[in-house]
Amino acid sequence: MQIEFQQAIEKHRQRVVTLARYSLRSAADADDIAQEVFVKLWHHWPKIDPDKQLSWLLRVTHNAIIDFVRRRKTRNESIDEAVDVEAQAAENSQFDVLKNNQLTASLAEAIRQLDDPFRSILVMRDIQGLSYADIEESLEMNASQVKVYLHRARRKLRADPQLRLRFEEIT
Amino acid sequence: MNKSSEQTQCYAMQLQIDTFLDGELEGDQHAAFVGHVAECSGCAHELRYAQNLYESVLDLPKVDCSDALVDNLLAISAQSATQRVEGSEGASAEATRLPLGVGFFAQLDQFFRDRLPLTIGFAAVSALVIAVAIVMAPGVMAPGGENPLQPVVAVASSSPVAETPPVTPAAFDAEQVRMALEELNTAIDYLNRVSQQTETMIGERFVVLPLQQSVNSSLRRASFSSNEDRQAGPI
Repeated sequence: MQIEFQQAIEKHRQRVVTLARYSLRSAADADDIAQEVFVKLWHHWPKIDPDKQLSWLLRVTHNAIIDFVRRRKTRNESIDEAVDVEAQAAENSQFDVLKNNQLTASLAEAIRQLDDPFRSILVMRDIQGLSYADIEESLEMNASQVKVYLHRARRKLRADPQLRLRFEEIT
Repeated sequence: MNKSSEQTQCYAMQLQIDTFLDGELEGDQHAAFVGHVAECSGCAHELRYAQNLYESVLDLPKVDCSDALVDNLLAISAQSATQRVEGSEGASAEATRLPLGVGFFAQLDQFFRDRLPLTIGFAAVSALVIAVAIVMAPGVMAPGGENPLQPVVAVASSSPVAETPPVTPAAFDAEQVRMALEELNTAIDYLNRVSQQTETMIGERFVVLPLQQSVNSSLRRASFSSNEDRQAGPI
């Protein structure tokens, strides 16, 4: 069982971490979410259909992110968020390359600002390249709901004035 | 076409941008969209922006966690697996041991908790204590100084029945001794609780209440006598 668990981590870690990293500002928080999710996978291992592991992981990640954001809002950590931005900038994260590309950094930040489920669907479909079926199963939505939310997420992104300004400067 | 209808058409076309970008716009809808964008600079500009943004999002990197996190997860799973194995071994050992609290005093305690109100429980325990005290007492002396139990004792001492051999500690195993101690502790705890509650009840009933009544009656007498004095008056 441990070997299978390790294989599952290797297979799905990037998907889980990507969803968490594009949802949360702090890399450490995203890693905490990823760890929490995989620990849950371990504890629920016998009950999970191996063919549905990915959708289960993404659903749990999505819910964990929502809970995390809700807890943060409850604790009213607006000041801490400002500190977080600086800490994030100072971290040696995989977004370091993005610091050299301000447009991409602005894009990542704009995605983080989206509400759920718009953000999760956009990340799953456009960044991670998941199929509509996987997204439907992960978020327990039907096909038309996923498409509607996806299109609305993209429109919301296009409506971001700062992002539009960045693109206008380049083109 | 007036401006309002142009804006409406542009709005309707721009709603189809994402379907177009996904390659899902077909047939007449596709032709109408492409035709409109070719003629409308505003919609063409919006489509270019949407396409650039869409491609930028597609190019965003997927992110991975550190190997240290994975190592941590594997360590947690290994530890959990070890605990599961040890737990199952412990559970099988537990199954061979007698369940706790099945002794007489534990059952008695549970009986009183579940079924009897406290007063009846108190009465029952009191009766038990009194009975034990009578049995364990050295003997009740009759007016003539005779011990009514003495003949019984004398008869018992001359009885041809063999004395039971003294029980050696080795006759009991550790488990039995442990259970007996647990039962004894349970009984002591129960008696302590009952005695504390009894003290409160006794205190209230036999000390506090009579005292209150005595004080109240004194006050009444005092107020009554002062009324009489006033009624008597100087005249």
